[in-house]
Amino acid sequence: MPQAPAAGDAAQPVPDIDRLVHEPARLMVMANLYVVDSADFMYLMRRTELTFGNLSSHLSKLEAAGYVAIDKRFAGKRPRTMVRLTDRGRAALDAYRQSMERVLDSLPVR
Amino acid sequence: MTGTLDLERLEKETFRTYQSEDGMWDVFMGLLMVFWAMGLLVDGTLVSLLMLVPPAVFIAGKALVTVPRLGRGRFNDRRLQRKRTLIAAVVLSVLVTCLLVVAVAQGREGLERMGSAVFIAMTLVLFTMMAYVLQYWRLALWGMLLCGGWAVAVYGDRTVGVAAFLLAGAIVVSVGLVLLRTFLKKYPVIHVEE
Repeated sequence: MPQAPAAGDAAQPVPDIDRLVHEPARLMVMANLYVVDSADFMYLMRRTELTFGNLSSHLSKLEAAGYVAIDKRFAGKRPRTMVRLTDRGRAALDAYRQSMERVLDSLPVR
Repeated sequence: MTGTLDLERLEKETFRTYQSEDGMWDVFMGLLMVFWAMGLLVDGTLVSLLMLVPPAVFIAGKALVTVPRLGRGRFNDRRLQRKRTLIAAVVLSVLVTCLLVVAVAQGREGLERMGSAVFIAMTLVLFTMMAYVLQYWRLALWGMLLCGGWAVAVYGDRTVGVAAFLLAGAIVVSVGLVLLRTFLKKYPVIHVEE
């Protein structure tokens, strides 16, 4: 029978987590964009293992929030879409990391 | 508990995947060694033309095989700074090489043998730098093989040196082709309609 936690062992209240970043697929997209200047769809699909449709959907949400910028150009006659994390997106990911580290560090060690 | 998202590790792994997982650097180095060995046996325009094959294969491979499968990622300033340092080192090496060639051509005594030693040392330094910039340490090993074979061919038994060079080159190309085969299986082409 699991024991009830002792007094003082309770985890700290979860602060406001940015749910836009917290979603696992979007977190992977943002993390992979964080470590590069920009990347195309193929790069992100390979790194995140998302389908094209799924990736597009997540990028639309991130773009609406101002976390990513999508730049559509042409290389000759072929379209080339490059995605990059905006300064706001980088700040959001940094804030998310700090929040999660605070939550996880506050967990009691068993 | 920290490191919920190890971005530095992610960046290193991504960079390494893009630089070396396709085996292109190994194929390039192996072909370079094979044609270099042939150049030590046979002088002439043909060999000079053959030396264009390794970089051509590398550039074409990256453009036609790697990028369509992995996509394009532009890495950040820290990587670009290392790349610029490498390019500066290559330019400096080429300048030193040109000066030495001019000096040797003018018949300065003793410079011919010294010149080979300098070329070999510079090549080794260059490949070690490339290995550092590209985070691909096997490149330093291939550089040592190339310089070792070259040194044996120039200062020791020419036939043994050339044979060792050819054999080493063949092994390195084989390693590259195995990596390429694995890469092609792991990353089939996906058609993305943008």
